[in-house]
Amino acid sequence: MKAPLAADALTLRAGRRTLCRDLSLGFAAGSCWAILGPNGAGKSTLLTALAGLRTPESGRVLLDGEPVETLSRRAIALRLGLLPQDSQDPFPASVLELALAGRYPHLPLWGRESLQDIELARHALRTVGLEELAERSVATLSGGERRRLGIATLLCQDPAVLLLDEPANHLDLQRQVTVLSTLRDLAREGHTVLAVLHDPTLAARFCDRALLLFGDGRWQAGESRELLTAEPLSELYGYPLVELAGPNGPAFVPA
Amino acid sequence: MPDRSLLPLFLLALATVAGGLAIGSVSVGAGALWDALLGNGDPLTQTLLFDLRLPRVAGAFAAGALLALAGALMQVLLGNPLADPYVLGVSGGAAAGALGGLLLGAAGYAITGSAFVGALLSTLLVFGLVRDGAPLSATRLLLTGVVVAAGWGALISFLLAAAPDRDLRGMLFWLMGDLSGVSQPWPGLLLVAFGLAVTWPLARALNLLARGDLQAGALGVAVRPLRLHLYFTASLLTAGAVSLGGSIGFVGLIVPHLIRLRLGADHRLLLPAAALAGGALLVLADTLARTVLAPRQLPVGALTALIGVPLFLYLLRRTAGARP
Repeated sequence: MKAPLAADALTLRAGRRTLCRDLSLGFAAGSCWAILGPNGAGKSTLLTALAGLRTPESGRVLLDGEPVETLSRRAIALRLGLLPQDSQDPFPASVLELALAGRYPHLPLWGRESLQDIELARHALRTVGLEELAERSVATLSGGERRRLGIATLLCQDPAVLLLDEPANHLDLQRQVTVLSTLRDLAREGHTVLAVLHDPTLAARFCDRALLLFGDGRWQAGESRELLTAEPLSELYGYPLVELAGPNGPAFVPA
Repeated sequence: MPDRSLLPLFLLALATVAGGLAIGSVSVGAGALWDALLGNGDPLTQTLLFDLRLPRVAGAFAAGALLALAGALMQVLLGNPLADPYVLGVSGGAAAGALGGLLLGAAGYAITGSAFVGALLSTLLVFGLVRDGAPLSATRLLLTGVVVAAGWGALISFLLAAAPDRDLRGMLFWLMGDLSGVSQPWPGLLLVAFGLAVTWPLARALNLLARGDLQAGALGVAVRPLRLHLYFTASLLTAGAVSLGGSIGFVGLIVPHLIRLRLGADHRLLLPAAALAGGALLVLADTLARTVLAPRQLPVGALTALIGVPLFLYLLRRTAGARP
């Protein structure tokens, strides 16, 4: 079966530095990928390129087999969603309004959100535990609540492919686990999930695949079981990690 | 989603226009105004209302609506609630064009024309300077615009210093905003209709763009064409407003904020509401400008601020107090 999202000889550079060289990889439906790498390795750049929001230095991104640059933004947004690393809200809005923004690609130009759209948004807010705050102003949210709202917007968009740039950022431990379980369940339902993560323990627990970006153009991809072990991770972060046996799989701590 | 209506603002706009027609050196009562509107008034009142006051009132409405609409668009384009229609130097270009025209002895339409040319020149200059960057990156656009505006300011000071004394008063009124010269409001009103027609259908995309380029792009907005569209539309509307009545300050900054405080930030409502409220505010300010110290005329720009500042501060405090 054709992968919903694929990179074809993708090369990304920032200035003179090569972030990833000749990345050729299919992201199959039903798989949950962790993208790991040190700061500045190009994880966010890769996600924006996969979303078609950045032109790669060479190579192509294929969405359902079609080159992403030949598709309209709206056609892309119906199939692929991106949770950006940061959110900005210079203007006032309610939590529900922001979650509803995810319905944008589904509505015609003049369309108003229907009751069904509002129900979808409320459902997405419920999934991330924000239903009580639906009428609140975004400006009153904490960092973690803001993060969960971003995830709710993405769930409300309901794409087949979900790209998430540090979804666990700002979240407390319990929320990290809840959010990542939600993502894993989406993958089990047939979605394709790619999440940039900073915690290899969470990556090993919730993601069945891993893509390591070393920051010098080298990359490594494969099953989490094989790739997420002390040796490659220690090399990845340039710091020795120790693998411990945890109740839900391996746990990694800095030596 | 709260269901909020434009009706109160529409009535407010009608009321200010009626007031602007009725009040002046000769006051017209409500009955006489109604008769004249139906075409049964006495000929003198008809002439007073339709030939003398209506063009100015309609011109004020058009200029206010243009400024408020341009301000709302500019704030989205720059992702900054403090942006106003003048922040990218459009008004400076227009003022320099008009003053240059005045110095060269131009009058009437020629001044309007030279102001418009100056505004468009400034728009193209700023665009040319940022074109090669990221999709009209807000920071670069803002910095370039502010610096170009400062350049126009220097040129304006030079023109003022070089101008003969008898021209100075006219020039100053032009810089502060003055609607007494409006003879033909139709181009302005048509420009308001055009501005709404090309931006209102994109209101939902504007809502997303206000949350940043990346988020908007990820949700299906073609960011670069939209930013280009906003830049040129906002500049064109500002150029139209400045050509009508000079650099009237404050309307473009404050009206979009007033609307956001009262009706929320959804551009489906914000755009038409800002146009109505901006028009109403400027008609009110202009009516006061020509009557408070009659027969002396005050610069309308000073009055927009006099009305707008307390109104805005009151609403800001009240809204802040109402939040849980």
